[in-house]
Amino acid sequence: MIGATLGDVMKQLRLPLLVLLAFVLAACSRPVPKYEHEVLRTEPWSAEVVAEMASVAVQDNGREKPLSVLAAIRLYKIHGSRDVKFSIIDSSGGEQKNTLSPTEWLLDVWCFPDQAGHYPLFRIENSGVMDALGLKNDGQTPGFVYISYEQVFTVATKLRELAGEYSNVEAAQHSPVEAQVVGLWQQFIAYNQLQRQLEAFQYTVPVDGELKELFGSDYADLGLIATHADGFRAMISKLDSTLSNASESMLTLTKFIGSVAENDASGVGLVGPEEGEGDVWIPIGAALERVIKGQKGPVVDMITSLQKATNAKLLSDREAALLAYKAASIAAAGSHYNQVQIERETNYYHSSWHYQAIHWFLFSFLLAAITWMMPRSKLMWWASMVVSIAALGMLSYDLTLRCYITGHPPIKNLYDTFLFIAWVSVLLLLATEFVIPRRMALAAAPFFGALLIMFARMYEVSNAADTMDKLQAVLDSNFWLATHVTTINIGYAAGLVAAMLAYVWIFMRVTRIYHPSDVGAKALIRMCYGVTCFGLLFSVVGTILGGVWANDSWGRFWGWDPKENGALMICLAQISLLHARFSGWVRDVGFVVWAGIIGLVVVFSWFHVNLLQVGLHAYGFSSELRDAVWICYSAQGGILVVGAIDVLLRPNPARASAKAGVT
Amino acid sequence: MSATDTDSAQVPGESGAGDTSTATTKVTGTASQLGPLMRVVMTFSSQKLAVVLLVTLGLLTWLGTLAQIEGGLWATQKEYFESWGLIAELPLSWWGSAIPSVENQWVIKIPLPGAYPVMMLLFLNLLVGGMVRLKWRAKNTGVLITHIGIALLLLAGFVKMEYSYSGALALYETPSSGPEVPNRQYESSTFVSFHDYELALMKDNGDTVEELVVPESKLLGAIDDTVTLSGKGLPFELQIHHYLVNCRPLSKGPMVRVTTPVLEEPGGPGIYLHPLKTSPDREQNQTGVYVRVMVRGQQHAEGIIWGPGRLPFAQARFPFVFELEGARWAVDLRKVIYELPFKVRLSKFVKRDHPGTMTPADFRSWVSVKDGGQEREVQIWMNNPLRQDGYVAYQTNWGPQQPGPDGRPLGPPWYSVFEVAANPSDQWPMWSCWVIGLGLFVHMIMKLSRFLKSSTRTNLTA
Repeated sequence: MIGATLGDVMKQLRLPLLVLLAFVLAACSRPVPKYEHEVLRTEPWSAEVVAEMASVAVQDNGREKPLSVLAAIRLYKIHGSRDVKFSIIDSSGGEQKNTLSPTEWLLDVWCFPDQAGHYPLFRIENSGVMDALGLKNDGQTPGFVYISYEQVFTVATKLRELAGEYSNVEAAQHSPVEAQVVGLWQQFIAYNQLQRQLEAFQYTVPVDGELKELFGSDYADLGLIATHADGFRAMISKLDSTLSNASESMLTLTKFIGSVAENDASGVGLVGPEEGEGDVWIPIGAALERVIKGQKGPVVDMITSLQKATNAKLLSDREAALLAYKAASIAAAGSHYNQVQIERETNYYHSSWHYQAIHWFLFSFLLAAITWMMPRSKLMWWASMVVSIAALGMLSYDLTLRCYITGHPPIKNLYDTFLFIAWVSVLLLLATEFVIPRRMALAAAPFFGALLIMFARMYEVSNAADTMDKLQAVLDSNFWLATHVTTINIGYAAGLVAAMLAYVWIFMRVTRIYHPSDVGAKALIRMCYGVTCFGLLFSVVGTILGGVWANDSWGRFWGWDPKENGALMICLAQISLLHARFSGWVRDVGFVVWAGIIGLVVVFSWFHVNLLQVGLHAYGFSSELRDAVWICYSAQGGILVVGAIDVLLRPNPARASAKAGVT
Repeated sequence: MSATDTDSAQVPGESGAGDTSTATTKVTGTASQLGPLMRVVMTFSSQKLAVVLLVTLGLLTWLGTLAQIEGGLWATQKEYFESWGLIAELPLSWWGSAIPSVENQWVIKIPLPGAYPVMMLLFLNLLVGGMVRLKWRAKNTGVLITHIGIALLLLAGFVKMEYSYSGALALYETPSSGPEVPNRQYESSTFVSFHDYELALMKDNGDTVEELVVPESKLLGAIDDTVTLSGKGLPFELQIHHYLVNCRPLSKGPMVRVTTPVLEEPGGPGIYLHPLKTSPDREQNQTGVYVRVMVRGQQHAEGIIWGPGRLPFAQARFPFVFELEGARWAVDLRKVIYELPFKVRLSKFVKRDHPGTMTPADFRSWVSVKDGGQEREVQIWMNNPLRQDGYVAYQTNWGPQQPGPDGRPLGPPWYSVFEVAANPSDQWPMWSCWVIGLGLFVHMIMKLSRFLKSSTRTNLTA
């Protein structure tokens, strides 16, 4: 019987589903932008070299991390995507598709800057931006185009001017074109900084006389300077302080070295500190300066191998040089190079257990959907349950690895909250399914798990920041991160799960699958109630613990800060819901609508308050995050409005005559 | 209102979800059987009132959060959370932008009671309805414990609001060798309020100084009127006027139009207080006021008193000084100074950055605390305050933060800033957290285990 009802629903939904399908297909089949320039690297990087280079340690934003992580974060920022896709038209007119991983892309930026500079990388979504910059709009795709670094470079002056002008206005007030111009300038800078790290290896300085003799060549490059540092130092020591006795080519060369030493604003350290020299890693230019001053050993090898890696004729020679660079880099950093930790992090991102969990969650959801058609099948129930538990296991392993790598409890930034809340929600829903096995929580668990992990991945790319970054001093307390932060997020998770069960109830009522007095509808209310009670414990304890932490770090328990207020609102909404229920003031409909509103409150508290630009938890403004928040509001609000209209139109729905069969 | 309304927990819970007997009250009967006093008690202790109060508080919190975007934290806190009532404004917006997106935004105005009275009513409601009238049965144990914890929490908030005060204490690192620089504060047994001002009248008695202090609340009348201050035994009265919350003293230029009085200055063009826009960040405001010394109805002297404190420097102040009948008097407008029963000296301050960045990984102070004859060394850092004699000192800031020639902050020598708070209910929230956590946990486990054994569950899963 329920099958028949579901069938009716599906019939009604056929048109919207077709539209959705068309939309999804259109989104998946976006045409790959073309690379239109001379191909300098004619064969792909060998997998072995890419894997080795992925785990070279660099220091960025206060922490040593694998090169692959640095490449990924920068690519998210510049390209807004996890890989670089483009097609090359070869001489025969055939189209050859290419996909570069972040590490491969960064190797191209470093070793084949002229090719990488022509990759279609910067996504322009508004043709107004092209017009404002005076770029030709050849319309690769309606809606957006990709342009290359070299194209942006031609209008860099204009771009800087406009971006500077728009930056005087608050980010929230920007028009779409203004926002994108400012964004494009930041992306351009980010690319420029990466490229300049090794740019100097592309240059040679013509030399004559003594210098020619020293280098054994009529030009000098960074590799030759590093190799002949002793002789070069001896020559410099003979110069007087005003360089009046320096030859023409000596003057040119010293100027070149001076500019190389200063020419790195990326803030990324490639060369580890010497023993007893503190903990700051330095860029290549500064390392060259040290070599000229007399530093010996692996640093010299780093510079000479980079010279080969960026200039050798054959790709295989370049690859060999890159491997030599890695070995020298490990030797140069000595005890500062934590190889185990770097490999662990590289593997963490490579295996990406949370990403794998998405697939298993989706499979489990499919199995759960089958249990609806085969309500008596214990086997399918267990199949779905076991797959969900396995996926939850993957997510748990992922979270454990994160804790192990960072040395902190699972949540230390906004990104972590997605994965943690996904974990708690799935656990909570699976537990609910064991208490009330009606196959609803069974399906909701993997669906919600997969959804939240997908949100995490979208947020990771759009935020384009290292999710394992070091903590600022006030947050650096494992005790409070483990207690307050986890409890409050368990509270968020429970609030969202309860809201979702409420939306399922509304959906079932609106689609007439359930009559409000059906056992299934009653069971949903019970689940929603139980989850709300569970959530209340954690929301209240978490909120108060937050106050106790604030009291220990700022000297006040409560300061009406937006984030504190958000947490309080969740507590108040949950407490008032339970009391309204006890006092008999709300019945099923009231309960469900109230629980749905708590879902809105959770979104407000979890994300929206961070966008308000006030208080201690202001994370800066991002228009993507704002859109996401408002999409969440609209989706939840939409369900509530539809539910409310349904209740107004049919306050006491008649039972379908055939309903007896509902199980 | 009928008795079934106020005592609606008696309504049988046919809905199935809430265990409605949890909060069953002791008082039953119809309205006619109850005296008027009892009816009032029942209204004030009803669960429905609790719901109304909780929802009101939630609404206030939400609107008070949004109001901070325009009004700043401090003003909003006063208006929404520490007042008796207000007209809250909800600016309509869609997708994060105002509707319509011009300056005249559509605003919904909602009259609401302030959080203060709501929380007081909630406290009463909780005390009577949630503790006294609650059926003291084994199955209500968790609810009762939770309610006790919440009451303790509300009480802690009340005590904090009424009886606590706080301020800043800034100290320079004591030089490990060489002399101390005059005017720098290395040791202190006082701390200075962040934003509360007071007017101090001082009399020079030769070897001692006698002080009379007038709190800020008595000065606010001078914002748009003249306030007269007099005291027993004082040979004069003080008239204060033009109390300006944020201002700067300036020399009167020849072409400048001035809205405040200009005081004569020997050999100069005259001095006046130039009013500035009041900043929502209260610490940014530098308050000043005009003062007139009146002797038997005649003006004896006139001056301007102005000035924020100058931490971490020693308290060198420049009060307005006058002489009368051979005695020297001085008037000063200053941030309130609180005494500590112990002395604090900063021995060392260390700031460590994450490598290659300017983000501090840790900053901490080594201080020596002198209490009577005893002296002990303690470390204060983020999340680890010093607790002594009912005062708590927190690491809040450091300096000088201005960039030096290398772009990094200008130091050493460093100074370290502590927030010092005196709060009798300092630890109460933590205790209440334990109590509430225990109560909710007990209640949840009891209900869950009852449900697992109940026929309701069997029916739902059948």
